[in-house]
Amino acid sequence: MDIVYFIVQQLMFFMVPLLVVALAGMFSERSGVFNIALDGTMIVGAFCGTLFLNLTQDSWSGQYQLLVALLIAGISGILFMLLHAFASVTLNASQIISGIALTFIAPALAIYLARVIFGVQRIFFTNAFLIRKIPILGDIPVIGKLFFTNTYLHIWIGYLILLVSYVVLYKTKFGLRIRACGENPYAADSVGIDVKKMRYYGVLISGFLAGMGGLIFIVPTTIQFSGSVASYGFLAIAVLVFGQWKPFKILIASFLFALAKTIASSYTSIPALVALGWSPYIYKMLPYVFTIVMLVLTSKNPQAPKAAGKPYISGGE
Amino acid sequence: MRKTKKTWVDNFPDLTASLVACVIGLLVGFLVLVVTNPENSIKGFKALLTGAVSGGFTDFGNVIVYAGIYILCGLSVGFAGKTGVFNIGLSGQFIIGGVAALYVGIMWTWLPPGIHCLVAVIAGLLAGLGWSSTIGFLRAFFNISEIVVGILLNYIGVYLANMIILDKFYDSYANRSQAVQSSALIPTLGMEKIFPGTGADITFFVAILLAIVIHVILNKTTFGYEIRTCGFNKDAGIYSGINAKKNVILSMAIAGALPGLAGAMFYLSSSHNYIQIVDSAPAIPMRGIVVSLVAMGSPIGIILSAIFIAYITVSGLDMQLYGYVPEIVDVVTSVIIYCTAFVILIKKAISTILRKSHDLNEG
Repeated sequence: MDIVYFIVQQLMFFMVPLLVVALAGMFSERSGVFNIALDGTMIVGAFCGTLFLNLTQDSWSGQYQLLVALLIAGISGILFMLLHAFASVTLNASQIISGIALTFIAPALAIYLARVIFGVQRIFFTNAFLIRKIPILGDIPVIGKLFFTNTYLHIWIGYLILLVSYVVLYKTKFGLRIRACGENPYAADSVGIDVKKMRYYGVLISGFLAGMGGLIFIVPTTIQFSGSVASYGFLAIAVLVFGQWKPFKILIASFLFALAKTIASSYTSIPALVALGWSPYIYKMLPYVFTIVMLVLTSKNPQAPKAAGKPYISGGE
Repeated sequence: MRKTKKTWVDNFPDLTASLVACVIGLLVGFLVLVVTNPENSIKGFKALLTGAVSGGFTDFGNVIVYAGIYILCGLSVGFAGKTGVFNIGLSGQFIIGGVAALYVGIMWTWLPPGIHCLVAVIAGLLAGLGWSSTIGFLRAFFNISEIVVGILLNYIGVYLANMIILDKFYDSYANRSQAVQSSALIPTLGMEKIFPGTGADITFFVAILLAIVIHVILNKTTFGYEIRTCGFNKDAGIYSGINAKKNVILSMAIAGALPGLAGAMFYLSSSHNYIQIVDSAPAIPMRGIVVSLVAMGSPIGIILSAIFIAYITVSGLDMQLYGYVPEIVDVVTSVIIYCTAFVILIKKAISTILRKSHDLNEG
C-alpha cells in the first residue's frame, strides 16, 4: 500500500504543472492565438519565482511566501507574454515565429541573469513548503493518506485553477467571447466584440498560468533552478491537443500522461515491472509513445479552435 | 506567385529585412551587455563581433564545422516550411541519424574504407528520413499537428538512441558510445592541417552543395512548384489537381533526411566520433530553426545565415574572457527571430512600394 501512496503523490507532482500549463495554452488557443512559447513562459515564471524565494528566504518562509512567489511567477509570465501578444495580435505577425523567439530567449536570459546576479547559473532556494499532513482531512482513512499527506499548497491551487478556468470559459460572458474569437473572429466582430482585446486577454491569462506553472513544476521536485523546466511546456502543448482544448479532458489527458511518466520514473519499485527485465529507456519512451497513439485515436473528431493561428485583420478574410 | 521569374525588386527586400533584423538583434545584445556589466561591455561586444576572426584558424575551423551542421538543419526547416509544415523535430531526426551512422561506423567493420563512410552517412540519412516520415504521415492522414508529434518524437528519439547505444556499442567508463572506426570518418581533404583540432571536414561543402540542389528543386522543378503552391494555399493546390497528402509526406521525408545527414556527419567527425549518453535532446540541430527563420526559408539565404549564426556562436565563447556567459548569443539570435516576425510585414510594405514604382517605370 505504501507504494500506491508514493506513486499517487509522485503522480500529482507530474500532473499538476502539466494541467496548469495546458490550461494556459487553452486560454490562448481558444482565443485564437497559438502559444508555442509556453515552455519559455514557464522558465520566466520559474526564474522570477525562485529568485523571489532566494532573496526573501532569510527573513521569510512558509506557505505565504510560496503564495507570493506564485503570484510573482504569474505576473512575470504576463509581462513576458505581452511580447507575444504585441507581435501576434497587434502586429499580426506570425504567431509561430514570435513563439519560437520567446522559447529560445527565456532559457538564455534565465542563465545569463542568474550568472549576473549570483555568479553561478543556478538559483538555489530553501524548500520548506512540503505539507506533511493537512489537519482533519489527512485523518480520513485511505483518501486522507493518498491526497492530504505529503502535499504542496500549489497542488491544490492547480485544481482550483482548473475549476475557475472551467467556470470562466463556459459560464461567463467573457469566456463565451474568448471562445467566439477563437472560432470565428469575424462573426464575433460583427456583434461588437473587440477581437484584439479578447485575444490580448487570452494570451495574458495564458502567461499568468504558464508563469505559475513554471514555479509549480520546480518547487516540489528540486531546490534549485537552472534555466530549464525539462521541456514541460512542450509536453503541455501535446496534453492540450490530446485533451481537445477542453478543461476536464485536459485533466484526464494530463492524468494519463503523468501516470505513464510516474510508472517510467518509479518502475524500479514495482516488482512486477522489474521482473520483465526491460531496458529503462522503454519505460522512459512509454509516455510519449502513448501520447502519440492517443492523438491518433482521438484525431477522428478534431476540436481545434478553427481560427487558432490565424491573425485577425479587421474587415477582410 | 504573379511572376515566375524573380526580379531584383523581389529579392532586394528579403536581404534587407534579414539584415535589419540582425542589426537590431546585435544592438539589443549590446544593450543587455551595457545594462548588466557596463565596464566590460565594449570589449565584450567587440569579442562578439570579431572573436571568431581573432582566434586564428582554430576558431575559423569551428565556424565551418558549426555552419555545415546549421546549413543542413536550416535547409530542413526551410524546405518543410515551403509546404506549410513546421519541422520542430530536428533533434530527434539528428540523434537518430547519428545513431544509425554510428551503428554502421562501429559494427560493420567488414566494409572497405571509402565505402564504409559512405554507407554510414547514407544510413544516417535514411534513418532521419524514416523518423520524420512518421510526422508527415500523421499530419497527412490524421491531421495531427506536426509540432506536437515532432516534439514527442524528439524525446522518443533521444531515449531510443540511448537504448541502442547501451545495447550495442556502449563504453561504460566514459558513459558514451564507443568510438567510430577510423575508416568510417568523414574525409577531411587535409583540412585538419589548416584548422588543427577542430574536426573540419567536407560537411560544410556537402551542405552548400545541398543548399544549391534544394534551391533548384524548389524553384525549377514541378515537384518544387507543387510544394510551394500547397504551402501558399493548400485548397488552391488540391483544386488544381495536386496531391497535397503525398507532397506533405514527401517534403517531410526530405526535411528529415537533412538533419539525419547532419547527425551522421557530425558524429562521424574526427573530433567528435561518439555520442554521449544524456537524457536531453541535442541543442545544436535546433539552431536550424533560427537559421531558417533569419533567412526566411530561402536556401541560398540559409547558407549566409548559417555562417552568421555559427560565427557569433564561436565568437560568443570568446566573451567568457570578459565575464559574459555564451548564452548572450542565444539572446541575440532570439531577438533576431522576434524581429523577423515584424520584418516580414515591413518587407511586404517595401515590396508593394517598390513594385508599384517598378511597374510605373516599365508601364
